[in-house]
Amino acid sequence: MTTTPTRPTEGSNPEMRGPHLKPFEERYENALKDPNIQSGLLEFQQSWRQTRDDQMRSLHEITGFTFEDLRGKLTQAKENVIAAPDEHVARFKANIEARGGKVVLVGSDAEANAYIAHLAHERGVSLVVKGKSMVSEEIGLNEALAHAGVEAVETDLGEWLLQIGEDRPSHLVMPAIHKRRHQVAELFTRVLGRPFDPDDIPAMVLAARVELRARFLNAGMGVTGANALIAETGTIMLVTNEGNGRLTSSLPGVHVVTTGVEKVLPTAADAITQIRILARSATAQPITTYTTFISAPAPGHELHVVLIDNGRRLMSVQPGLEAALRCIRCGACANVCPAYQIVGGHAFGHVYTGPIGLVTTAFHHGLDAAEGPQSLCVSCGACATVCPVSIPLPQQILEVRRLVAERSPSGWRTRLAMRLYASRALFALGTRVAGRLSTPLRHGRFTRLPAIIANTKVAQRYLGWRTPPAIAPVPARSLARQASAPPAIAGSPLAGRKIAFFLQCIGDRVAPEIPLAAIDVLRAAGADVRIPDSQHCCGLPAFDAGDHDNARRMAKSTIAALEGNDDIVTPAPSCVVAMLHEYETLLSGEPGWQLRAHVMKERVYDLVGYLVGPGRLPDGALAEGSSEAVAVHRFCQGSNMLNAGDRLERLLHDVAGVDTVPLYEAEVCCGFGGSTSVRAPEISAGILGRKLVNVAAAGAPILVTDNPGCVLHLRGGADAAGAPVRVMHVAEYLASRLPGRS
Amino acid sequence: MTTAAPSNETIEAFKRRAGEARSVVHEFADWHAVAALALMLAPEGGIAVSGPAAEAAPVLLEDLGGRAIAPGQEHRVTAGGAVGIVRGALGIAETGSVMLVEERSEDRAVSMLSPIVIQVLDRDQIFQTLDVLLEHLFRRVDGGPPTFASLSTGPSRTADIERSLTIGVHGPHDVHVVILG
Repeated sequence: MTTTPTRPTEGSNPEMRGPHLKPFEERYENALKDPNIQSGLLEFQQSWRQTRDDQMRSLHEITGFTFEDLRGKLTQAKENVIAAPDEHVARFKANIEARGGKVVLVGSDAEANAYIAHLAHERGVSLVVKGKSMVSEEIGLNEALAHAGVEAVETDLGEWLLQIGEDRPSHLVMPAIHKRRHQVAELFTRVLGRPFDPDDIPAMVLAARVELRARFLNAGMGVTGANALIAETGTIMLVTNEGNGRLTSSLPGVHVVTTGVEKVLPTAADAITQIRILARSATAQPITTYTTFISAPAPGHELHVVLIDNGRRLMSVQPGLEAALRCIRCGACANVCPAYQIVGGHAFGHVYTGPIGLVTTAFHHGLDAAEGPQSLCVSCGACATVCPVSIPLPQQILEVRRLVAERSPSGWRTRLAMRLYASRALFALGTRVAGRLSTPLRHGRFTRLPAIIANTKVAQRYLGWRTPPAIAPVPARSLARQASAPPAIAGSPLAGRKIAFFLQCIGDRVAPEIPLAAIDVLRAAGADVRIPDSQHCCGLPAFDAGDHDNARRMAKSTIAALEGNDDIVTPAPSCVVAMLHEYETLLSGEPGWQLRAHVMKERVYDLVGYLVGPGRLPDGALAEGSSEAVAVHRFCQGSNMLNAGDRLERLLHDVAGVDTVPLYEAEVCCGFGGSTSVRAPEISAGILGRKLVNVAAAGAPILVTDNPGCVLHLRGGADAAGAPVRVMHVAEYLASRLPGRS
Repeated sequence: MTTAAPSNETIEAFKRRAGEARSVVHEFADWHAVAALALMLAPEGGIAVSGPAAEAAPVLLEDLGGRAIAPGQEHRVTAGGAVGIVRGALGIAETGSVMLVEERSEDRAVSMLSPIVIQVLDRDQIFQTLDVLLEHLFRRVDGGPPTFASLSTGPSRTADIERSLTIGVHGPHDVHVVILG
């Protein structure tokens, strides 16, 4: 790349980037009002997951490669290009130009549009046909061409129906996924002036074929994107299912490719790797209908490749974020994102939607455009597990959140709140006062507001769908001191182990029954459980909010409180994720602290990990007790970031002798998602609803899970919905089976 | 290109996967049978023949008689045909794909605009995996990859309306793959 890094001006001409780009809040509200989005996307996500997983299994049968093999190879190839883009771009350019193509490198969206508009004028082109190109959406090419008096017609069916309906794409691969058939039939009826039956989709497709066929034959220029640019041979790779990409690139006399520099791949072998993983990840097909390789203009034709920077160079030098440039635009991250299912792509992004959009939008369209959608992410980590180029999306989203929080005018409020939260004394005082004040409202484990308040709009929005937990009158740390010794498990299997027990802030003050039960189980097994009094919060809430200063403060005090023991155990795997995945990076500026975080990492376990690992209890040790059916919700971050797999089910099977009832989508997030339930409560409520439907279908009276946040969220949700299910933390379930307790 | 004959297993895998992609696979002895298939598929209407197909089988245009649309016509003329006959350069068992090598825009139009397309492939050009592209497409000794080549896998399709799979959008709604020899 010979151009200088360019970032689009903050908030510059958003109207130029497609019709109807409204502020985030409005897009979010509109999405919630559209009943088609949630139902359509739920159906889509569930069937995609199934067929995608089937494809990945047969991939191995057919090619001998696993998903992990291929994503490792493609990630490496992409990394090589990101590390030395100029070299690979130069090679691609030299090869294709030797065969008569022309490559232009442009810095900004405006430059790209100007080049293409100028070319159209010079060649006397008044009609342009377009294949699907997200880059052309990114730069607002259609609007720029219209401004220059050139008509641009989308030819991908989804893109075309959005164009005639003055709508915007909501998915990288299936741009019109938010439209239902009756909406398309109405649109066709209105635009084409004859009636269409919503249930006759083939008739609508045929109508589009006829309409667009005429455009293909008359257009003077075709614009497509590119799925890859092969440097070794100077080849453009383009995949489509409809065949419009081949027509667009072949019939008009001038073919223009708009794409980003990150699409370059070093070798043809890398392109084959991409073919094997792209369609399987995108549409869950083994291969798309057409994979086209263009290495020169057709005889008598012209070929121009417009390579656009538009913030990419800046991204490539941003530590931790450069990996986002590996993206091959398959959309898999959106297809597993529980928040995407609730609001769809319009709320998410500008052009690039779903989890990847939360990262790239900041670079292509500025931090202002990226700010609103940040609250949508529940940090469940599902996106990273299906990404075919191993982009660490959850970490990147938090990093963009940090950048956004740092410059946000309201950021000081978050920082102040987190500063107060970071103080153990203030937190203790605050929860004591709140506990005292809310005493009259305490009903068992819940806080119940008087109807006059509960029925207000605000209370309904934030609390109506999830009954809030009660604040404990006495925190777990005090109760643990008073607790009597539990009945012993035969043989005291953990005798002699010194465990530093981490209560977790929520458990300590809001759900003391959880840490107390965990302590009981560990003590019953003979462990020497210590509860360091200086412990407080691991720092996750601050980290989540993008406030690294306060996260660091809390991380350090947690390390200082817990280090120096044999094992560190907590009933809260969310805190373990923070300690294992975030602490070292967070403390990278302070080598002494970073080392202490590293040493601690080797000893930290969440309760389940401990009980199936070094603290393993004898098989059948807690087999006596209730024989009621149990279903298991797998804590999403445990599945996605700790490789937990089925260990909770195994623990219940081996130690408690319980065969759990299968729960559909057991590893899909419950919607707790930390700050999401405050910033975007409808997302939390929607995801919770999806979970509760699956729980009801499982039919078990007991739901066991292993993260306190999920327990409180699911418990409150089940209470508000009147669902007949008892939600228990695994510690509570195990403790209820201690000898003499059942 | 001289290569060992593909194993039966490779041919069978190719046929199975092409079928899964909704291509109709035939095994014919010669090009006369191809012409007969085209005439059968299009009792009326023109039959467009691409340059590489005509080059491989000079008999083809004769067999089709007055119904033939000879190579090199304007796109509009090709678009008016009922069937297109094109040459497949390679078959890939891994995906059930046929590699079309189409240098000229007029030849591409035959495989893109005809509602029914017949892709004719030599049996000994069917290979097991996509890796064959490295040698036979990208690293050809005669000056690098062709201007324009496509892996074509079944008829054109869309799922853009409610993810409902619909066959036949901008490209053909029927694809016949003929294994020759």
